[in-house]
Amino acid sequence: MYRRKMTGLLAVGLACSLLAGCGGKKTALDPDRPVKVTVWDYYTGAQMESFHELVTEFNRTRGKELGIVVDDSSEGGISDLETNVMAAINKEAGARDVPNMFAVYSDTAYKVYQMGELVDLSEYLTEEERAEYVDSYIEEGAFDKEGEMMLFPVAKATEIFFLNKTDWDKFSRATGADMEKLKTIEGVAEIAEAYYEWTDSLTDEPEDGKAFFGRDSLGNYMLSGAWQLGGDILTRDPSGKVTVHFDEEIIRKLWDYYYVPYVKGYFASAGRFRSDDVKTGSIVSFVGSSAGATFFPKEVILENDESYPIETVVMEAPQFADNEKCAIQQGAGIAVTKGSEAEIEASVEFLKWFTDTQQNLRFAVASGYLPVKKEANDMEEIRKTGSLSSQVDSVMQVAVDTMNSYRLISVLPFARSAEVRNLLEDSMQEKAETDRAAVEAEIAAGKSREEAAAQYDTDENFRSWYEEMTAALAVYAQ
Amino acid sequence: MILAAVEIMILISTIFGQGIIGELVQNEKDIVDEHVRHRKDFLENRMNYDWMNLDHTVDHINSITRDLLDSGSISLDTLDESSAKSSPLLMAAAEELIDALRLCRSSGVFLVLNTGDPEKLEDGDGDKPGIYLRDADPQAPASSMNQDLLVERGPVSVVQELGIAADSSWRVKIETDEKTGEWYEFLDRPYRAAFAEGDLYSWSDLGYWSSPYRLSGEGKWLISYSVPLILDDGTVYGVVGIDISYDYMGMLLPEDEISSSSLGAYFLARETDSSGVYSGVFGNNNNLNITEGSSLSLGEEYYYHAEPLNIYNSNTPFAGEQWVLVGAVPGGELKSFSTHVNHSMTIAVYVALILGLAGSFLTSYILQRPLARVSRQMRAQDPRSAFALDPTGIREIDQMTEAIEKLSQDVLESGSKFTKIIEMASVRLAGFQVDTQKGQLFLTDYFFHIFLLNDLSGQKTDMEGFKALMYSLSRYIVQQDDNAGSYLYKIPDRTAFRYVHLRIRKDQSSCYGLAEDVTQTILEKEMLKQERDHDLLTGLFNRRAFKSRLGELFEQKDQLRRGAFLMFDLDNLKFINDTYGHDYGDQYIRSAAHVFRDFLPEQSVYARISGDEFNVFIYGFGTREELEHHIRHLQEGISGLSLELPGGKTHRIGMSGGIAWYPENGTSCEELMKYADFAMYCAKKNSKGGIEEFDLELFRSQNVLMRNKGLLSQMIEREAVRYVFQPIVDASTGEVFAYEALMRPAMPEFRHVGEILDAAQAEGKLRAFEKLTWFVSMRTFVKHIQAGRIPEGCCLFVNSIPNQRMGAEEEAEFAEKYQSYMSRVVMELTEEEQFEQRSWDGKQSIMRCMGGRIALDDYGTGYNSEKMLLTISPEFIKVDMAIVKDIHLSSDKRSIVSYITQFAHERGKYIIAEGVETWEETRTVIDLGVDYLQGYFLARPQEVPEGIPEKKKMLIREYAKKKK
Repeated sequence: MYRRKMTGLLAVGLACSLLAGCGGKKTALDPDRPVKVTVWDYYTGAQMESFHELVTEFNRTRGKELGIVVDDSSEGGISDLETNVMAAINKEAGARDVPNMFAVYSDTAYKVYQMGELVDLSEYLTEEERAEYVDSYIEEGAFDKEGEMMLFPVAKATEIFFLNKTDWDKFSRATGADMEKLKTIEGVAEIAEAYYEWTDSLTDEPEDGKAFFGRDSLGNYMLSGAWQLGGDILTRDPSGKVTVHFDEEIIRKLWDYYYVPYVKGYFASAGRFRSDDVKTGSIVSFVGSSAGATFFPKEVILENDESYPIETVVMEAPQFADNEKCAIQQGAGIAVTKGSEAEIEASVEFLKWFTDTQQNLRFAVASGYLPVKKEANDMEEIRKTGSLSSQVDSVMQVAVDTMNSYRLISVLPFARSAEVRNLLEDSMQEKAETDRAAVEAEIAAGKSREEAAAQYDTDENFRSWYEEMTAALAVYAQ
Repeated sequence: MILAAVEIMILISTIFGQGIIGELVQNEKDIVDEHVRHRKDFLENRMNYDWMNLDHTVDHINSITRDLLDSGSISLDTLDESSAKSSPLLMAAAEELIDALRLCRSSGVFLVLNTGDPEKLEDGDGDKPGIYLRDADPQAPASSMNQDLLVERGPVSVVQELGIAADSSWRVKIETDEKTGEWYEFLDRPYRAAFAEGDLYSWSDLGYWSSPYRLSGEGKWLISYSVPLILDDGTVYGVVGIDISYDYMGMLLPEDEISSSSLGAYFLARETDSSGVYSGVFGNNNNLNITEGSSLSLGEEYYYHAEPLNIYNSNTPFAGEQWVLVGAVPGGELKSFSTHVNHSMTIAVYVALILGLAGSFLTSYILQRPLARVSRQMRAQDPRSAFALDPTGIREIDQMTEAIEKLSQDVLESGSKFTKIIEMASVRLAGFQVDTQKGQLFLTDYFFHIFLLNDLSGQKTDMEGFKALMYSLSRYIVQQDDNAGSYLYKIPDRTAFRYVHLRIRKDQSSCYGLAEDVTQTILEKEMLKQERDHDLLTGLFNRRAFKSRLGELFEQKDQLRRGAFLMFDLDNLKFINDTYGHDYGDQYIRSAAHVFRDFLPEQSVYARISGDEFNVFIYGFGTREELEHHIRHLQEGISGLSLELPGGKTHRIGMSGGIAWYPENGTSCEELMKYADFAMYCAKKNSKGGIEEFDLELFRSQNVLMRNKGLLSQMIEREAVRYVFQPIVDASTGEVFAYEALMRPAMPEFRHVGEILDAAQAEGKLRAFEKLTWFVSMRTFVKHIQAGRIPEGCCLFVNSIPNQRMGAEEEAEFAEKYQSYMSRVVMELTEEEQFEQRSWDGKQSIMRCMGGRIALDDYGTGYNSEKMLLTISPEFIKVDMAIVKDIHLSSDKRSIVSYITQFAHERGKYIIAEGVETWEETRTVIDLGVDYLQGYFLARPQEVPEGIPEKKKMLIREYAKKKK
């Protein structure tokens, strides 16, 4: 009798749980016992403020409903963030706990993924939900297998060209320079030389010409430039093997259009970002991330404390002439680390809310990043947010156009891709800075600019750097 | 039903009447207050120890400035004119500022240069060169490349060379406040204060917490703490400080700890002029709308608690600005819990009321009525007969009534069972119970048989009859203790008596009595007493009883009047014994004893003290003549005595005697005894068969004790005693269990130990004697153990004087010296007449404390063995030789030993039979269950202790085994 009763009870219980499994969505979240999740980002300034504001809003609304509290922490730059994340994962002395979410480029994410710390988010989103995001952003998160989602896209950016139109107009009026030239890399180099000559001619002081152009990311220049010139630096064959190509001819062209103008003083870099250099009047144009839009200057402040307002023009980033156009697609995704079911669920809920069109657009407009959903990647939608400054408006316009019409390329993630990226980022830039400093010293010592620069603009100089670089890359190649 | 209502009333009054609801609200308020206090402590700490901790920074910047001034890189005259003039200092100070920012964990740090007189400010002169750096997330770890920082203000060279990105609102100089057109407070207030009163205060006393402000172009609200920069010569050249953004402050003041809704808030407020009006400085809740420094008004719907922040030293320029941290919670939220409780309680009370009423109704209808019926029936029943109860129809109650019926039957049965058991008891028992309230009487069957009222049995006795009978019996009560409810009846039973002991217990409603036939016990007791007090051979008092009786007499001296103490010694006893054997010797003694019985007046006490010694005390006469008459009468009697010897011969029985007169010769028993003894001694010496009177003169001239006086001290000093050891043997194995140490004098002047003891007593040297006993006996014992003459594990019995103790120091010395042997020491005590409870207790406890045990000596012949037994609760009881001697021939002696053995074994004590001299005696005491044996049969006391002969051991072992 008793046993039969128990069996009956079991049957009922089983039926209930089965029904619950089929019908309702089972969740580990409980509004009465909120779960706290942490997210580390690398945003600064207006981006950080906007992100923090959205996190706070989430905690007050959707988070409260579901029982989620998100705690955000800005770790400085992307490299600080990566260092801190790796320290946490490796449980280094003094490191904090591994965050539940962290902003990360795909190459670093790949490293963490290989350590087995990341959660595949594909099972937390339905097919339909995933289809709402721009396809290439979702694909970026499939590291080894089709359909995997190791990265949640939250904000994207591309490179655009920025020009101080006020100073350009002075130059253009005086020399008849054509803005069309700024569409090609070759044209930018040519204009830069002309700008130096013109500014030098404005005073009696010899060799006081000014630089015209700068780049924020040499890595992007190397990758996209090589791609345009027909030689992708990193390729992956169908077996998944990644190969590094460092074609001498292509690399020489990249050298000629950055290193050479730099040592001659046509290109420059001084502050942390080229936008800072425009603000201080060191240069008048640069290629940088669209996400820097909020940092783009509205005035130039000179060393003598004088300042003047400037008008700005934003254009698509210059390309090598007569080649297929491509643009860098960048911007970190957010990876979710392994933790309790409630923590993972909470993280995904936050990311869904954050990338939902409304919120994502607000973040985009405040930060210069591009939204990640298809329907949001539309100027009509973006303008609906209603709070665009004309500068951000034009940045967004150009960025959206670029994203929609150019071939988008990004860093191929593989085990050592972060090292390769750093090498591409720093090597030519550092050499250019060092050699330019030497040239300046020699000019100050009385040499002519041509004479001083000529020692560096040589085949031997290139070859020695090229060989060094090839050797270094060989170490990282699989 | 009434109960239910009362309960609910109590509930209601407890909750609503005693202000629990109000207390709950107060409680909530207290919690808010407590949170605010803690938060204030936390914030005060951050302010005082992090944010205001600028000592290092100020020192460094001052020293940088001095160096630059010395080298001519900057000049105080032009320092605040342009970035170019100030940038050497600003660049040099930048790293210091970043360090300060990291160290203070503030959201910003700044340095503003200013040198002019603030009162002579001209338009356009407001912008000042400086650096202002921002860390938007000070809680995140510092970036290695300072990538988490932004330049808000600073010259171009700083932006280019520090590698820190310029914020979109970056400017070169620190402008004036857009809102007021004046310097920001962080520059203005400390700078002015320093400029005006810099010589009166140190720079740290001039530190200032500003009201909220925003930098032009930057959205953040900030408050700042800044201090003036003053050179050694008193020149003020700027300020340095940190700022705290509202975002950051908001994180440090989490409002959810005081409010569960989003309506509560923390805010900072400031009183600038001691007016009691505070203006809000910071608030992290938009609803309160006090974020922009508006004056503070909260309306009544908020409860708030303010805690002052102690951030300014007293007597400094800004000490008047009192900052407070305020916690504000909507009043509704505070009450929400109590309101909730209120509602729940009200509902609970109603529900309880309804359920209570319904419950009482049901109970009274369904349960109470049948229960009442059953209880009526039960009251009507006679408890002495079985009964049946009507079923109620309620299953549980019917089960209960059945159980009650069964119980009553069981009680009846068990009652009769009990009576049967009482009948079967070997001792006759009977009992009664009187229920005084109900007037009921219960008697066990044949209750009056025990009182020899056999003809009353079978009759029903009522209460009055019972009382009358018991009253009539009261004439037989011979001993009664009303307090203990104990009565002893001595009822004539044909030729003898029956003794009945009735014990009565009373409680509030009843009186219980238990009657017990104790005839056997009483008779045995009397017999024991007889045996204890009388000499077995002659039937006269023994020494013990004689002394006891005299003690009683001498306590009431007025009844003594005149008396005579006589001491007699039988002449020629040894000759009779030796010539005709002990039987004739015994006969000789018995015949002498008859004389005392036959020829002494009633007012006399007489006893056989030892073998041939008799003592007599005649008292209560008015004159010496009367006494002399009776003594002559006794003498005549003695002179007529003769003993028939074998072969028809007769032998005249002669006695020598001494007389001491009371009160002429002495008034104490001891004195008289001593003098009579002396007189007898003289008589014996002079001529056998005579009686002499005590002669004091003679006594004085021959005082034995006087003679021995010097000797005793000598003996004690020289420890001129030796010890002999007599084994005490295990009655089951025959192995030596212990040795008794017996003292022997080692000086010819003392014949035996009794003489030493007498001398010690007379001279008050008992303590020294006691010490001598312990130390010498123990020393000898240990010496024997070490020499292997006494096996390890053997115990030592030492005879100690009961009323005497060694000194505390001596006891301690003894305990320390012989600590390892103490568990083997048994202190043997003989009872004494003059029983001193205190010294007894002391002796006992010190002995037990040291780990030793206690034996009671001479059991059965002592003065009051039973009392001793109870008082000292010894581990060993030594049955006296007098009892052991010829025990196989006397059933009385066997009973005594049997009784004491049982008594001892029930209490975990051991019995030692002393003085076993024959195998017959040994066998008998083993049969009676004694544990240990001591006596000549086994071994004599020996100077060099020896074991027990193997043959005897075997004999004992075999016998004990067989017995088992």
